[in-house]
Amino acid sequence: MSAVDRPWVSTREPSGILAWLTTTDHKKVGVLYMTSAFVFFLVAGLFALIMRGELALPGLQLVDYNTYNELFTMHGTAMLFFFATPMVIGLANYLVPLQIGAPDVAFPRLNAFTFWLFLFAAIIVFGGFLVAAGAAAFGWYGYPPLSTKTYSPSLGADLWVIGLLLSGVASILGAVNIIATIFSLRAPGLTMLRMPLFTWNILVTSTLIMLAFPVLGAALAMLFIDRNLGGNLFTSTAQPLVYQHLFWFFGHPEVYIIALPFFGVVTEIIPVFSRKPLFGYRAFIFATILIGAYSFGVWAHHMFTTGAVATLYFAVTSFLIAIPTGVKFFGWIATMWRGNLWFATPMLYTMGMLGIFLIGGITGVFLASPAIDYAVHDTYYVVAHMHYVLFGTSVFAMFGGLFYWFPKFTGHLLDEGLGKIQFWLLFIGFNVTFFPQHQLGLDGMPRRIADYLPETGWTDLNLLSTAGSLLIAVAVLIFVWNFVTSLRLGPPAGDDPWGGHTLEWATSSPPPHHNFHRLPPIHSDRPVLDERLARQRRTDPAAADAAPAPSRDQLEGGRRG
Amino acid sequence: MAEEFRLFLRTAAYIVIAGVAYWVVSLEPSGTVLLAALAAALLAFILVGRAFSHDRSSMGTGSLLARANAFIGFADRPDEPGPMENPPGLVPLASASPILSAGGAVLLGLGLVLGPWIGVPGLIVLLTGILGWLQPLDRT
Repeated sequence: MSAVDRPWVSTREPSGILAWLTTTDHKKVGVLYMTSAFVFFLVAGLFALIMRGELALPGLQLVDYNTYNELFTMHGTAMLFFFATPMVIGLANYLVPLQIGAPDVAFPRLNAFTFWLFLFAAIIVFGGFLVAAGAAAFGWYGYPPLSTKTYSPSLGADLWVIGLLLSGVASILGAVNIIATIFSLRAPGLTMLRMPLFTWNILVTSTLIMLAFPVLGAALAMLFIDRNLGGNLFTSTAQPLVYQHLFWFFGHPEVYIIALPFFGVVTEIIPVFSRKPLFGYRAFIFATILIGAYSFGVWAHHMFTTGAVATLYFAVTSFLIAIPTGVKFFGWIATMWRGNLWFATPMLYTMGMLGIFLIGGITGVFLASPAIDYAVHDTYYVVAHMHYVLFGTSVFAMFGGLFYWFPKFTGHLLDEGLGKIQFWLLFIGFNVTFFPQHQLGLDGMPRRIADYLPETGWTDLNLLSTAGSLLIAVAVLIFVWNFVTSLRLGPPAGDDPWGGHTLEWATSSPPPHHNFHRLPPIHSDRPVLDERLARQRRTDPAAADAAPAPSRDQLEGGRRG
Repeated sequence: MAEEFRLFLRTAAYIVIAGVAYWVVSLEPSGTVLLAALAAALLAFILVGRAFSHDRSSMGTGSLLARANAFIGFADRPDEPGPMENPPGLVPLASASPILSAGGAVLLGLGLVLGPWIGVPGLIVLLTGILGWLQPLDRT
């Protein structure tokens, strides 16, 4: 039954803010996700700045101990659950239907529901700051017994538990929706082995979400029972370890839930800005699936120092993950090899991501060795490692992706000059902030402390780290300025400013409500490039055969035009 | 060859192997149960794919794997030789039901912490949202 058959149903589309509140269009929902996630990124970044300000010098300057505990808890929670994961879901929402030639996601209203559920859940978690005893203050892992009512009686802790539970439900439903979309709405001709790599990465990520988040949900539900219903699930002698097993069975795949989509982003960017087809398409798919599968076998490498896990097993499985990740690195390098490289802003961010993630990956291999892990566990070495992994992937690749797809989202280009300034400030600022933290960790500085004695000798490196964080803040503010001004004043982008390969570049910028007026024939994973080459061959066969991809002049000329 | 099937089957196979190895090495029950549940979830996903498939009658032809793919309902899409003008598809109307349902669910969750004074209104809002959701509002 269509709306025409039911006169009580209004077919008039709302406008203004009501249009955003009631939208079921995957593109608008994607924009809502990305905007909310970016706002949470700014808030959590502000918390980080306050923490860095506090640690710049010995003594308490800005906040007291409990507020510091609240800040690092909410910083981690917000960055993991309310920035990185929703940013991934937002990008997937906007791009997956476009990349597979679909008019929308499989369940549009469920899609809108998941966004609002995530947003309200996040607001609940942040609502902890408004209650008398403050927000959750036990770290983003929520380990019992610290997170039980005895040691964390604040209402803010309950809001944290409920908020994360609801946010987890939203993530699971969103993942089911994405999987259903990919399996059932692909355009004719778009077989699984012709899907863009970003969509492949989103598919594996959604599978990880679907399998990992229920485990977190179970752990949080049991924690809630312990806190409010008189349960004794995690409070007896050995039971806190069960919580740790449950948490990290979710927590390590969560790292790849964040990383894999951004691997997908850079895998889209590199061939376009190297003017070459991707090297090793099937190897990339295989590596993506392997990383996803391996991520479920390594959880207790976070628990080596409990002395209650099979260290050899988890060391070996953790080392194994380096292999498919290495395959991806070789694929990216081979794609660039002898390519006609164009270092526009998206490519700069991609290069930054590769370098930073490589350092994070290597320190990860160190940490997977139990002997080293015992020495540096819970020190700033781990803080440095996880920021190289998570900031390297989520933030650098996010900016790369936003610069790459902003023209598709809005029809305008972001300012390239400001983008390059922002990149260098961010790249330098990031390394100044986090590289010294490796040394601080090796010197024995524990994580999650608000203060330290001058005699420890940690002051200089902490001061340097704080100075770097200010550079990061300036870089992010430049992006906000660039974004706001380019929305209205940015130069028109055209439909395909970069010479893209995948289907989203076959429609207008921004795309119409139903996404496509016309789909090109699909015979490979790069149908838009195929069609462009076929057109070139018809007009100038010699030139087309000599240049398998658009030349730099064509691309830059297209941008300027 | 349906890659959907391979994706889940391969992952489930790896998890089964990892689970057995983990049990042999550690004799630790919680992780082993988690890995077993994971493998079961992956296999369940394949079976649910089969249950909701539109074409459950076909057993397929060719290799065993191809027939298994056809059995669970995953099949390759036919190739289209040319471009497609105005590709078909339904796009739904705007709806207040999603935001209402989400708001209701969150108030209901808050009720668990703060009490029925907020949980009961949350349940009412949630049910209102779900009722609106049941209306088919598709348009072409």
